[in-house]
Amino acid sequence: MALGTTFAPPAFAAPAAQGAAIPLAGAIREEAGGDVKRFYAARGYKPLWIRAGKVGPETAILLGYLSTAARDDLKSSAYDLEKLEALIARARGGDPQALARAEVALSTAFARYVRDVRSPGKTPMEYADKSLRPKKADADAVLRAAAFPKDFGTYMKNMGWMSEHYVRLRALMGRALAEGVPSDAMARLRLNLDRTRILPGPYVHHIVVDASSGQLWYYGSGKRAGTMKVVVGAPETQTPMLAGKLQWAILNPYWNVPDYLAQKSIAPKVLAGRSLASLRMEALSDWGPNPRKLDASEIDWPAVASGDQALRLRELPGGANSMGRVKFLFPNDEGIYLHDTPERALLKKPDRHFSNGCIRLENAAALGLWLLHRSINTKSKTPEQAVALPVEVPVYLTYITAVATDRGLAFRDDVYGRDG
Amino acid sequence: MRFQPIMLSALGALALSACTQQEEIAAAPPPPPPGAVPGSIAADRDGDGIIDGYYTSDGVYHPNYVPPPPPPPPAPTRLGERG
Repeated sequence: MALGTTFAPPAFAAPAAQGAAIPLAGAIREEAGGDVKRFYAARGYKPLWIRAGKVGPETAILLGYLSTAARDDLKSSAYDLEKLEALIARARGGDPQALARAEVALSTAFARYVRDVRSPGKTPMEYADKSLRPKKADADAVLRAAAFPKDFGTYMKNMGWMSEHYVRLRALMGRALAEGVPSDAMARLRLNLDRTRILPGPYVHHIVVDASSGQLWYYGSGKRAGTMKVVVGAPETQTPMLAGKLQWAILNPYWNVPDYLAQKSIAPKVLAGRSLASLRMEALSDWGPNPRKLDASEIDWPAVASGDQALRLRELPGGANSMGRVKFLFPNDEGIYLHDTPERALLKKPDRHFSNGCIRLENAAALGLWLLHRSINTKSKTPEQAVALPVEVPVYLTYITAVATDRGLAFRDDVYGRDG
Repeated sequence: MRFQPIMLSALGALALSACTQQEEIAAAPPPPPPGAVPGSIAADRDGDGIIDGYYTSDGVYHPNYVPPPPPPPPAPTRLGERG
């Protein structure tokens, strides 16, 4: 997150010891406890919500969220709004102790609200990288993240701790509650809301792929850095709900054909008269690191087609390769990759459920530049050039069917049958 | 006569530093400390509120801690790439 054009002092630096700051800091020190005290101690007991001896405008934004917590599928009554409002009213007199009480109460309520909103519930998501599994955020972490951005007001207004997809569905939930939509539609909306709870906010560098709309977004430094269309899994070969960390870009890649596709897709073509060379493929002896290239005469195609013999096939690199110019790897047991694609026409279709589960990118070059800080173009024709990402980037594959229309809540077709 | 031992120790130091320099060539240079690059801005890449590096004016991220490279790409399996 940018602090300015040059390095500003850290957000947790001790405040200037002058004016009314000293009694207020001292009062906050007395008032705060536990996780909240750790947050304030690290910033020299500088307030977050009080500025120049007054309650800041972000307070009203927080109270707005708490009073409409039903949109988060939470209860406003859990946050003791009346007590909070009374403390704020008393703080308007400017007494340092009253200000400190309001300050600490606001931080405590905010941290609790963020923790509740981000609580993952029973959302089915496979975490290929265990470090991405949602953790119960302590108050210190919630407040520290909120205090880091240069503009706390914008952070609060945009709900900067949540994904923009959550923020959109939260607004939709508010509208649905006001309009009194049928209970089955509400249940479906809650499912969607829960899927977006576990997505990071825009201050975390990450990628989101929605397998319902066939769209990808990437984020960092508090904003969306880009978006593009993607082709995702067909109903019979779905893109899973999966989170992992992108680690490698493979330039000039092979396409390593899954054995079931060798059986069901390639073998029938060869038996119908196509040659492996015409498919720009080669067969290999095994799945070890040093396989031997098989001669056509060594392959028992009827056995491959019937499933009696497994065969390792790979498509040769080049413009027509199914992986295109680059594939991005994140270790997972599902064989899922993000990759370039030569089949551009599929990206122009409104419904883009055509792949075997992988994510085919509309603009692999742009995503590659964002991930690698360099072009994906390479002069070398060497196959499978592995380039490590400078920093691993989390990717979340999700499924969001709820949309806002002029007429209110609507849903895209549930092509994967996950909405119950 | 007093400068002789000084010269000898200087020569020794020069020889040692030459050896040291050779070793340093193999090691990756440490990243410059935050603020060392003019025009750079602080970065909090994982959104936890702690500065973890900086962005230079070209938008490139420079971590304060350079992580070790990831494990090599996994070898293909029968699962292949679903595509």
